[in-house]
Amino acid sequence: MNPNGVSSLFRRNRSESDVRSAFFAMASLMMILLPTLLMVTNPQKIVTVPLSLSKANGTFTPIHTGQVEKIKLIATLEGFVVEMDVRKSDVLASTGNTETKSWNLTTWTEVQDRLQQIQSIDPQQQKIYLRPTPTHDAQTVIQWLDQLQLILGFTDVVLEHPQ
Amino acid sequence: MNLFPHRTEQSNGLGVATLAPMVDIFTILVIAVLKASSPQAPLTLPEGNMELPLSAQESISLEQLVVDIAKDGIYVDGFRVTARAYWEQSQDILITEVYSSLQQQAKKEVKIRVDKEVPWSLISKTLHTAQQAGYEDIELLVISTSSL
Repeated sequence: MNPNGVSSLFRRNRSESDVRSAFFAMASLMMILLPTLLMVTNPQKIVTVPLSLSKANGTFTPIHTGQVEKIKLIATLEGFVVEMDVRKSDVLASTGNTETKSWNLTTWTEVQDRLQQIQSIDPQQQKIYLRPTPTHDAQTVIQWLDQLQLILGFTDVVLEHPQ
Repeated sequence: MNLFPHRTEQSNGLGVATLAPMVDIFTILVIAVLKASSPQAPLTLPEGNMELPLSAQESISLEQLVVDIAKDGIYVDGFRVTARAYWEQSQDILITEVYSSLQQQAKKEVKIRVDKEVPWSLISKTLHTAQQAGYEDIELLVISTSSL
């Protein structure tokens, strides 16, 4: 008698059983893992906002050599003022004759558009000075920092003292 | 008479076809929980009603010396050093109590936690005070927008 004949009498779909038990094992693992993770981990993720601060009585020393020497964003009670110092003469010099251009803007969208235009003039300039008013709250200033760093791509946002 | 009745497969609701999407959902949930949560200890704030601002930043913070500006007072390393209202109105830009407390700690890094409604004038004074006390690495602690 063919030894395989015995097994053929009690045929069983072995592969389907294996797959089912594997899925049961995985589902059981997940059902234990998920509540354990929810219990062990902290739902509030604390992150840091790196701050670059201007010196209280420091003088501005330009390091960047390019067409735009300095970009400044000043928040006012009515809106924003964007200031840009553009070099009139030798753009490769560390300091040069600059001309200050400024724009009074009312909304953050206008600020974003203006800053994007400035970035297109000198894409290498990745430093911006931000001066909030004394009355702006922490959440608002952090939103501006997020926008400047994460959306507009300024790597160095220097916070100036309102005073 | 059927001596060997053929055993028919009856669906009990937990077949492979049912389990597969369940396992998928669990896997997605586990990944989402891992991404949105933090392995750090739960946040302990000096005042119960203090709320940190939200930010889209990603860098995880390490435990360091912390200055808290809450709704009522200013705290250094968990100890109240002065009242908030006084320094909000004051014209001085150096918070003397915070300055002396920070000098005693003699570290180089400090984290600042502020209530989301604290005016920038007070935060700026605190940052200036930390700078004057010799702290070079100053960071703000906030809650990630990707939190659960």
